[in-house]
Amino acid sequence: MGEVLDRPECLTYAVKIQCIRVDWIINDKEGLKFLKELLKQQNKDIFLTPYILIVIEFLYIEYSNKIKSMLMPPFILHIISVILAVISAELYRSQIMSNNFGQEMTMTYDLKNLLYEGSDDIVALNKKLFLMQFLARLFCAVLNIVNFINFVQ
Amino acid sequence: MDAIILGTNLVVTFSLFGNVKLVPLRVFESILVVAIFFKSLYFLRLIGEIAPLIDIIFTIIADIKYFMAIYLISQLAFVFAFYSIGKNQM
Repeated sequence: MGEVLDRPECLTYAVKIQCIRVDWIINDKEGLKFLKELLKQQNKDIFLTPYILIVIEFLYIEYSNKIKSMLMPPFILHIISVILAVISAELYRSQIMSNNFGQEMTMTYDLKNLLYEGSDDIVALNKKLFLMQFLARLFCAVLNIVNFINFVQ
Repeated sequence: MDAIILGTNLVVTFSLFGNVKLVPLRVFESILVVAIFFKSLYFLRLIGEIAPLIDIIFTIIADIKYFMAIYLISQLAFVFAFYSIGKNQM
């Protein structure tokens, strides 16, 4: 076996190998039903049976890696885009409101109508902030739809 | 949770192209932020060190629901009692 007694990485150990057939859980409709029924079980002792333990461990390793690699990155981008959209929208609103103090601004069109009010510097800044929040919200919408399709699949 | 995120995000996005009241729009934005941060718990449950903590928190919330019911009833009792007494000082 190539065992070297004074090197721990070259020692051999007894291992117990268990094989079970789980292809029906992944390939058949009954497999999905079985997993759903398992989820509903109130009796937690069923999860301690060797067969279920192996199935859960196999599915957990397989699917947790897929979730981490496929669902997590777009979700992190989505969170960032939502924060950017909210902050940029508030910056844009407070910029317009601070330059047009006393004007009634209860609707989004009120803000748009006041976009070109003020000096050239103010208008340039207004336009920049409007564009920023517009792009942030569009980015947010695209990621929202991508994430939703990902989750539904 | 997904439906809430999808719905509120669509409202927030389409407010760009329509005339929407700012007060409800901010409410939608706040719901979106809360919902999306709570959804991150789903992904955090994949991390071995964090998963038990999240499970514990939700189990505690489920276990204390009857305690919270009694607590809320007693809170409401004092809220209305002090509201009534407080009106004497105005």
